[in-house]
Amino acid sequence: MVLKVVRVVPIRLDDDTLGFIDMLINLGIYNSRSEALRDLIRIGVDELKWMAKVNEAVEKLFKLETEYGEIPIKIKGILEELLRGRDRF
Amino acid sequence: MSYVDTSIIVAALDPSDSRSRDATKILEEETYKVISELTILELASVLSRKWKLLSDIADRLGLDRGLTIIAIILYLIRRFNLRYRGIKTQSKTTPLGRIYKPIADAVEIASTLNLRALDLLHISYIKLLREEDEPIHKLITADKDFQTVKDYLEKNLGIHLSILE
Repeated sequence: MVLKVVRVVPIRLDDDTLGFIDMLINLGIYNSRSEALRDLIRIGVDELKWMAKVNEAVEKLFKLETEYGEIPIKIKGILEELLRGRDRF
Repeated sequence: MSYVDTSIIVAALDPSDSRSRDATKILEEETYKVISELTILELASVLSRKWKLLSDIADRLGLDRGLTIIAIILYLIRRFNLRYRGIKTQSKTTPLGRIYKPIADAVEIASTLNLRALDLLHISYIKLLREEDEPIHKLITADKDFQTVKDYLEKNLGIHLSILE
């Protein structure tokens, strides 16, 4: 079993957020502010995991640029399309 | 210190446009380049309409359409060192009711400038970003329609217009 390293991060929160955390503790959902914040941050991280895929894709685009020797996105007629779109709007 | 119109970014991607190399050069040489949420929207919109030409890139990235477009926009922002700046003031009370501030300001300047809606919005963003202390002194564009408001930009906003021809 691998134990995860846990680090302490100081954090400033406004009264409204803290009040909401305390309400969750009062409801019995969490035992402490620390537990509540840890879990809510985990929920947020899970929700944004797709961003890791985007980050990987951006890195791939930079690698493609190195491979091709130029910007890897070349789209003929895209400027005309943009300017036509402005006319339609 | 410039506001970069979407047309410059798009021109840099368009090998069929004679201004492509110059657009790339400008994006690489200008030091402080600001874009707005409207630039991001226009990029997403125009990329989505040229999807067939992008599908090879999407296959290579292994992403669906939505994420591919986001990845490309993020790549362009990093590649050209663009600074995305949002508007802090959210809305404005007008005789028509509460309206999102960039749109409310665009409505106000519409009768003076006689521009298309998206051009008006870009000018509105420049005005608001300057009011929020962004040091923008130049608008760089490949859209000749801005030529008609060159004087307005210089006299009223202190913005120099640079059109890529």
